[in-house]
Amino acid sequence: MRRRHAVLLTGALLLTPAIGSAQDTAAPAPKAPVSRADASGSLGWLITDKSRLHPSSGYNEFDRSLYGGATFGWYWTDNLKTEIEGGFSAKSDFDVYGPAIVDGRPTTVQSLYEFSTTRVAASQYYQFYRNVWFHPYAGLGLDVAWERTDRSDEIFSSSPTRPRQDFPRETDVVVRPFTTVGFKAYFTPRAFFRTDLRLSFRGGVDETLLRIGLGVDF
Amino acid sequence: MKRFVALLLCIGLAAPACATAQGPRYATAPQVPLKTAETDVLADFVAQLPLGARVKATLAGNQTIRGTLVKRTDRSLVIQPRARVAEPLVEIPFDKLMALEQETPNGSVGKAVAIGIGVGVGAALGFLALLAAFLGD
Repeated sequence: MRRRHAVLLTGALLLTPAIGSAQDTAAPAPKAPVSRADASGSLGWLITDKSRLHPSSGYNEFDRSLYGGATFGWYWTDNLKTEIEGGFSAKSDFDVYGPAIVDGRPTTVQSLYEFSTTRVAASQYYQFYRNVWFHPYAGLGLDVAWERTDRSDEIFSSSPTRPRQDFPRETDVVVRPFTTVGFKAYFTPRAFFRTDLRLSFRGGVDETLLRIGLGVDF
Repeated sequence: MKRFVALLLCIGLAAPACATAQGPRYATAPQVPLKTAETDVLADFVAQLPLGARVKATLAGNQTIRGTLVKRTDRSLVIQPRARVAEPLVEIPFDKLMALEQETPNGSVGKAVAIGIGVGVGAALGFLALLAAFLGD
């Protein structure tokens, strides 16, 4: 059900500007956008809240990983843009320690998780100003992530002992709405540097992504 | 939190359709026609401006065009808008001009490029510092 809602919402985000443009046919023709599209590549730092893996600890547990992505944007007007982004986060390690009873004796188990993601995002941006060298922007959208998790449990004490336990890889599809603020700074009339901060939500702020990239307008 | 996110998404869905329904960017007629005397004063002012002067023209509805004065006639002035990507010249009849100011550049292209390079280098170093902190853990 959640996936179905996500698909519907993504479709609405993408189609609404097109419908809006089609309604303009009876009105005076507005100026064409200065740029029709843009493309960019970016690197980033992704911080994901993994507290749900170890809820009894009482602390917030964060996984950090490198992020890489490529983006294509389409300008409906000079200020409104729809973006499609494909990206991935590199494999990162994450340790969780928890109490366990082994052979009837209390001990501590170390669970080593390895996370990596492949993701697609659709978003709608409002870009401030027109045809200037510095454009702040704000946006919102939906991120669909395929999260791969590898887990192995180990006990490092001499007694009790237990062989390392490897779990089968799990792949979860996670849909998160997000908001973004950032800016594009042009260093030629068509080439730009961009950076932004994205907050993704899933029962609170679940992911924080800081991106830096380069791109070009068409 | 869910309500907040839902509200943001609703705004995002509604905003594009509203904004694309807007008309042309620049109005073509002032809401209040200028008196002939005011038009003459503006024409006299434009006549003494040198070609190439940087100007800020205010049209009806407080819409402004910043650019370079490239031509003047008895009835209008022509401005090359100052923009990142070159735009067509804009001809503004005096009777549609609400105000005109000459602007004095307070910077230079070299200064702007230096600032841009500084910002870019600073951002790149910041990113590398974050990366180093991340990899150092």
